[in-house]
Amino acid sequence: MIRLHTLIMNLKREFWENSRMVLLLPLIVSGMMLLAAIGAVIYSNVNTEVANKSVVSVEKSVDVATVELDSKANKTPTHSDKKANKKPTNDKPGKSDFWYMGIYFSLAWLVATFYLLSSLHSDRRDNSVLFWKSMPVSEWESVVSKYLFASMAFTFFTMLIAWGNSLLLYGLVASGVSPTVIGGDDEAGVNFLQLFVLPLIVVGTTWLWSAMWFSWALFCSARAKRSPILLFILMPVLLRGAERIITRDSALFDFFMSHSPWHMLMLMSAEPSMAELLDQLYLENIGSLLMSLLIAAGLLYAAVWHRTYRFEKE
Amino acid sequence: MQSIIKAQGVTKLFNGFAALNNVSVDIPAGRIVGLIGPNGAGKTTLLRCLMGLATYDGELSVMGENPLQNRQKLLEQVAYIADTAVLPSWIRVIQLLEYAEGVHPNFNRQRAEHFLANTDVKLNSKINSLSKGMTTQVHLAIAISIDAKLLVLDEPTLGLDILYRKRFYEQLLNDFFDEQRSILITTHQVEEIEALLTDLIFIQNGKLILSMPMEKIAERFHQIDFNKDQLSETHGLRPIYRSPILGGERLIFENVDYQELTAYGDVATPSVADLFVAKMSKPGAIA
Repeated sequence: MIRLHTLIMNLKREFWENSRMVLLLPLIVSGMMLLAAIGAVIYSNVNTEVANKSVVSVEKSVDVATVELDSKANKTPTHSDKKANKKPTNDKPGKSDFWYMGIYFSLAWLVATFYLLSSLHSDRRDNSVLFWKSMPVSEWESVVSKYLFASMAFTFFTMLIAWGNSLLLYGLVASGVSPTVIGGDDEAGVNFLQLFVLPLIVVGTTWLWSAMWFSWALFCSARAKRSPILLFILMPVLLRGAERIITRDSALFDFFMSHSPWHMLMLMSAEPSMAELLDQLYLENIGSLLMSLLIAAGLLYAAVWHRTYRFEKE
Repeated sequence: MQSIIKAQGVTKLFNGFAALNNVSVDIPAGRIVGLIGPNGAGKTTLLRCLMGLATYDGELSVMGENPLQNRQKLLEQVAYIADTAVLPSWIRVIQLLEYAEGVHPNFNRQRAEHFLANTDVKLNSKINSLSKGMTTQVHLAIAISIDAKLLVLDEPTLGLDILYRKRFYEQLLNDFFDEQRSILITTHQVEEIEALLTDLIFIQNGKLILSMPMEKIAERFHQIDFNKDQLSETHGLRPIYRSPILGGERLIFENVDYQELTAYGDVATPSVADLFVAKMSKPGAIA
């Protein structure tokens, strides 16, 4: 049903179309961070008294590890173990560490959501859908490539830029302020595991955990006649209203919102380690995860159906 | 000869409205077929059904494939230009060629680049920076570089000036058409494609009202120009259409004996445009 070479070509096509959006926004964020860091370095060099505080600040900002992989991560803790072994608050990753990657990922997820909302809809609006449909590419290949590009590639490109920016910041700190930073100080030096591996885990986990969120956006793009964003927002709001009236709670709405990628970010900020986060997502909430994946598959199928038949009515 | 397109009782309903009503047609290979009809007649709907882009009732076979069930396989053998405006505006010409090469097993990129080398189109240009005529040339370059047995063109020259239109059809004949390939084309500029066509199909209100080879048109339809003095002699004749001309009237006849008509003057074959107007009007209508 889906041929790999066609899928790759379609992903390439998505990159051509969205290269500015994919690259420009994270680059702007990186530029602002760099400027802030350079400002901090200059300030620290001018004012010796506050230099140490600036170094600490810059070091904190470049320490991209959002969580630590300690020895406990190698075993799968039970729920009671987790509670018993929970570290005190000061053992969690620093706020600046967390928000550094958080800013990048949040940006990528936001852009991905808007991209998905417009992707199938704009093809229909400008009639270019007829050109894409004149090529021997199945609707599944078209829809899945858009889904994969938004849910994975966007975050991945952003992460690459974040990595590059981290290294620049490290270099800045190392050359401009503190020669002992890289390799000298475990806490502030380059931790390759935390810098390169953990964000990859976050990307993969979000892809699974928030599949329903991204599929819903793509479905709205395929279904909406005029405004996909209105459909995207309105339906959950109406669902919540209906739930309030009928069942006096908001279980379904909460279920939907709990699978937003930003909810992942909240969980990451609350959990002391990646192992515990994964434990919570894949063991404690496996039912919720499987249910959301099932719904995501259904929404993707519906998006393909609409892609196949929707345009002929417009 | 093997049929390229075979439709039997094809019907397409939109909320109860029949955009196509029991359409049956058989088009053999190696033909250039003009599908002519007024706006809203069902031309585009029929083409979309042929391309597997719309559902339908009835039986339809294109290149021996069911368009709905085997659209992907069908599109490997059929090239389709839906409209000049459908190329995505953000993409570069070179990216379009790369994409077509990447997903289409029968696309010849060298051929497309060779075709475009003889135009003003730069490979690095974005579609939205090209004129309408240039965009059409890019689309045509892609279509004719597909080793397709059937080329389907839906109003391909809409909005183009006469120079681009003329060039378009010349390129179509020189670079694509041969005895093994067929072209199905819809257009409002019937005068410009008249000389190209081997077959003619008229469609109105979703129904085919004429479908025949051009050589049969000459056998079946005749026209005679009468001056004012001769008009009294026409009372016994049953033209399907009368239109005023300078100093008299032009009458178009269907299935009237040629020898019988020669008694009234010079008998000619009506142009496709005149025939179209005649067939779209009620029998015996006067313009």
